[in-house]
Amino acid sequence: MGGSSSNSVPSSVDMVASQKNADLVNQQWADYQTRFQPQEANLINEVNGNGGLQTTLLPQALAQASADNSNVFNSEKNQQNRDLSRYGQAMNDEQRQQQGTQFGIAESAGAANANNTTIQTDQDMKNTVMSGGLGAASGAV
Amino acid sequence: MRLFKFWIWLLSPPKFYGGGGGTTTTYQQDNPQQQALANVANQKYDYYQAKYVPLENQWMDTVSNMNNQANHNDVSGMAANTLKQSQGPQTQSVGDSMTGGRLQRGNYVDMASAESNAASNADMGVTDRMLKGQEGIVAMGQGQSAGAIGGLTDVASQSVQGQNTNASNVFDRQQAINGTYGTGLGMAAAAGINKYGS
Repeated sequence: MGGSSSNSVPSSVDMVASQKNADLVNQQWADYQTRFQPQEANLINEVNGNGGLQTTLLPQALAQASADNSNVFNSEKNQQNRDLSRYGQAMNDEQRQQQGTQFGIAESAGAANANNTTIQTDQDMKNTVMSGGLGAASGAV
Repeated sequence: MRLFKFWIWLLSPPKFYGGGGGTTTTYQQDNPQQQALANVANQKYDYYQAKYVPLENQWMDTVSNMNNQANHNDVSGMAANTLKQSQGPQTQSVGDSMTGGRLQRGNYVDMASAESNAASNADMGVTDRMLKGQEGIVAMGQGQSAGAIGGLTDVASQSVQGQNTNASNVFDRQQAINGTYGTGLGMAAAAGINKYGS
């Protein structure tokens, strides 16, 4: 419509409220674009790691699971040695080797289990985000 | 032929008044109700900018830092320690030691396996917590309310509960002579039994 811009509205016509509402809509949209859209883009990017097969957070999660697994097995092995020493006992070389083997096997199994759990949980989280928060967001756009 | 031309006219872009043809443009004046609503809407938006936006920005910063290394370390440590604590002190009594209650290697390996599970679950809980926070922010942007986010302690204790049962079952079989205690009662019950139990 020609001449519909606010500049050309005659001063005798009161359209203050309409202009306020229009400004408000623009401000809200700008606010959304500035603050929220980057967050949405970030979340979309996070759940689209490795060609959409996993989240981008998975590598960090796997490294963390592996590190935690090593830590707890080392911790328990040290705890066993401390408990023995409190009662004046100590393992001989053969027992220590056997202890190392037992803990090593269990640690490997623990690492595999932790990795598998982490990967599966990552999938679940990815699916939840896509069908939940992002699904609701895409419906509202 | 005449019919064809008629339809062409119908499909052609309509020419409204004010379209550049020098016709008079009409304006709808705002009535008092519209003016009041616009004023209220503006005041609401100003209030939102002043009070809510700083909080929202603060929450966004918090969420973006939820997946940091310190939180992972905290929660995996909490999970492992809580699980360990719920299984009783490592050297509860000399009797335990003499009967091999706490000194059998199987205990420590089983405990480590359970701790590993609890820690990895807790770690993923931290990541999940951040994603839920981000979902909440997206929902805020869409004008929807954000869901509640559990604390790190919740994340740790939830990851422990399942493992607690598993580890305790193994432990209890080996400690049958000392009696078993219930599993799945949570940290408080386990801590109380450890302190006041036989």
